[in-house]
Amino acid sequence: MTDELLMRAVRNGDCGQLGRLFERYHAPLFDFLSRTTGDRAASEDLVQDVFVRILKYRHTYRDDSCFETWMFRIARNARADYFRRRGAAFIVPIDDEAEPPADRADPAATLDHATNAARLRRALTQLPDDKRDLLVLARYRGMRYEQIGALLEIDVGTVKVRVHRAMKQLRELFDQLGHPFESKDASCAAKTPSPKLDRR
Amino acid sequence: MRCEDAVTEIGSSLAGELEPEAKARLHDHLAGCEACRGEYDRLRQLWDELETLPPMTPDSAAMQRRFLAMLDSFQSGADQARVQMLGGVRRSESLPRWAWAAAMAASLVIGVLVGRTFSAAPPPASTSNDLALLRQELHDTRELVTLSLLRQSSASDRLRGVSWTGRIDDPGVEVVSALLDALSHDQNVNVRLAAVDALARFADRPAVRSGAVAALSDPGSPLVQIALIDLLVQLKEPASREAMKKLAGDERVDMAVRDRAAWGLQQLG
Repeated sequence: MTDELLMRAVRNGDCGQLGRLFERYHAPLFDFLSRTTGDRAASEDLVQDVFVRILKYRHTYRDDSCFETWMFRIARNARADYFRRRGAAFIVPIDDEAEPPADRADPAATLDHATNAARLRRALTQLPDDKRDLLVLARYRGMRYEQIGALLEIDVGTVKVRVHRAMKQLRELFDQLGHPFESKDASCAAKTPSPKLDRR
Repeated sequence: MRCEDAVTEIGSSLAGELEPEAKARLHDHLAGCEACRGEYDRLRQLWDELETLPPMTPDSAAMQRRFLAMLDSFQSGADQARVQMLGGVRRSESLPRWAWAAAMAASLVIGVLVGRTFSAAPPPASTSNDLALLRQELHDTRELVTLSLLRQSSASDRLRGVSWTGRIDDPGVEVVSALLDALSHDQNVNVRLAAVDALARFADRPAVRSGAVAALSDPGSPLVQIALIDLLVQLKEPASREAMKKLAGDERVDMAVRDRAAWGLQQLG
């Protein structure tokens, strides 16, 4: 049964069908929320909050709506409310469990990889929320531009331009966190070893 | 194809959004334009790096239990406020059992009292007193859980402890001190970075500002130093100027930190 049919059943009073939607979407929702907030506990709370809101606002679901798009819109609102209640943006940049596995044969490569991962996570947290959302939806959720456009209420051409801008800004932030001059002169950086951040 | 069109298409190409013909046109352009090819290579490398960031793994079983409890509560006609109360408390397998039991018991009792408060009859005065008392107990329990997690030997647990500070409204001095201690002394850089972000919420407290300035001089981790510079610039903290000046002018300091400190000084004016 499609997501949309299940959601219509929920809207019409068969709330038990929400369990099937939870099974399908709690992991993708958690992935989106944890990648955009970096906070495991908050993300688990937010998944719960999203499903509470789906129940609460089930009457607003329209027959012609894509359930996934509608649900992710609710998730973005829930996340914004969550952090607004807690004052300033609260982002835990890295979770130990999300670290890449150590390569026992090549500790130097493992250190480089871990350092790069930490820098990249940090750079991601410094992106404005809307740009981070765009990249996470396109890169990890594999959402098509058309669906992202519907979710963010912008046209496909705007999605295209914003994804490119988000990538450029992420690259600049990444460079600033460890290779401050690499982006200014890539050819020089290729010849001269760049300073590496020491992960201590 | 013009260069400005080509660079916009790079993101679409990486995301698999280009039709074969458009993709061929882009690659024809890249073959003859070194500048655009450089841009493509840099963004392609970043796109691939993003792929290597592993996901966090949710505690699906615990989430499922909470969801079913919420759904059951909803279906049995429980008050909406009670549903939200159940949704607001998270089960963590790694928490001490006493802490979880205390938090859960307090939440459930509060849920019942909220239900009574929302009922047609006005609540007796003792009910609102009880409610306030139980809310205070829940607050205290959350503080205890946080402090307990921050003292664990596992970095993952300590990260959870930092994360738990986000659930406490107006935490006491002990919790803030524990965060400052993590910022300065934790052996794990991820915990220290998380502490920087968590402390930003309490930046109106003088101890937090002075603690952040003091930690800036610690050469332990360039990433933490950069995060602190960003925080102090965001707070427009004048007392951090001197420390930033020292960092910017010290050749022994990591180049990225020096660069960021110089930027910070510019921002502070």
